[in-house]
Amino acid sequence: MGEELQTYFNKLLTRIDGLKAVTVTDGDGVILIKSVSNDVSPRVLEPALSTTFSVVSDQASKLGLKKNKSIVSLFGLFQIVQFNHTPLITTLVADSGSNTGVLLDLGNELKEVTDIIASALSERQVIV
Amino acid sequence: MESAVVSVLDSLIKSEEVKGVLIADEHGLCLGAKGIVNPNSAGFISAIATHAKSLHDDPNIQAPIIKIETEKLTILIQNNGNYTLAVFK
Amino acid sequence: MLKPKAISQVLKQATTGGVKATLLLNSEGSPLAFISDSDRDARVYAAIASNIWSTFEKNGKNLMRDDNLKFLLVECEKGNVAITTVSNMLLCLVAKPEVELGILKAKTDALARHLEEPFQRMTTYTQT
Repeated sequence: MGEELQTYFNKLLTRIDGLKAVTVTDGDGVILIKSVSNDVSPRVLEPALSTTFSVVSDQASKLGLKKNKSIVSLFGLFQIVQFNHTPLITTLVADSGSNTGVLLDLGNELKEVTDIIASALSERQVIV
Repeated sequence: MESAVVSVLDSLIKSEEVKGVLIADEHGLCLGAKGIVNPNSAGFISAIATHAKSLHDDPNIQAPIIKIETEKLTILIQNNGNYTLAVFK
Repeated sequence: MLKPKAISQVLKQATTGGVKATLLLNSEGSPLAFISDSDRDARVYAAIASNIWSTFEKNGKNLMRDDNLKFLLVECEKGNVAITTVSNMLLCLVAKPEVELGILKAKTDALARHLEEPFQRMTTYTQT
């Protein structure tokens, strides 16, 4: 399953224009699976990206609008779209000109995948 | 503030043969949708339009209208540079 | 000079079609002007929105030196929040989930443009 999953993640970069990096991490920023383009800063893999999202997502869930689902941050040159796929975090880094709507759709598509990864993780913990 | 978008959608959906209409912005986010169109398809619809546009690069030609025919529906999609309009008939 | 009453009038224009609150915040996260169903909600929105903004702003600076945060979209189960800058302040719109993200962003951008000019003039004046 690992190989199929990695292939699927790698294909995402070619499927969506401007998508530079896809990572699925746990709440501490530990990377469970990633696909990163050559022309993006390796800093997208730093745990800080996930840990800060975790904190912010918790705060956003206190706005009185129920749970936070996703956050889109638009910068001049790039955009980061992150999803609360509890217990995991999915991060997409793309050019600012990338289709944000498509990236948000992708997040929903990836929820099924992250659910599989999360349950595989918890099974492993039980066995250990 | 949204009245302009709403009135465009309203006037389009009034037509008998129009079953659904959607307008997306340049980020693929839904500006409005009426009828049978799912607002969540804004990203996908605008991606179709931008990809079709890239097939021919001539700035002097009007952006292409993409026509998707299914057994029950015809979907027309066009991007004018800033917005993408989709009409489901 | 933009009178406080005039600012509220401008903010009020956005609170149609499902937009629950419009807020203008200073750099410390205090609401300078707002339209909201309740004062308490406004303070909560203000505090959280400015926290989220400064966190992502820092994130972005770590990721890419010269790039600036331009816009934030926060998607929650029961509503969405849009945040952008106006001069050295933050503009925040809180909307019900039925308000599509595209229109929420468009309204926020339009409001920001509308408010930007008088505030820029004010800032320039106070600096001289």
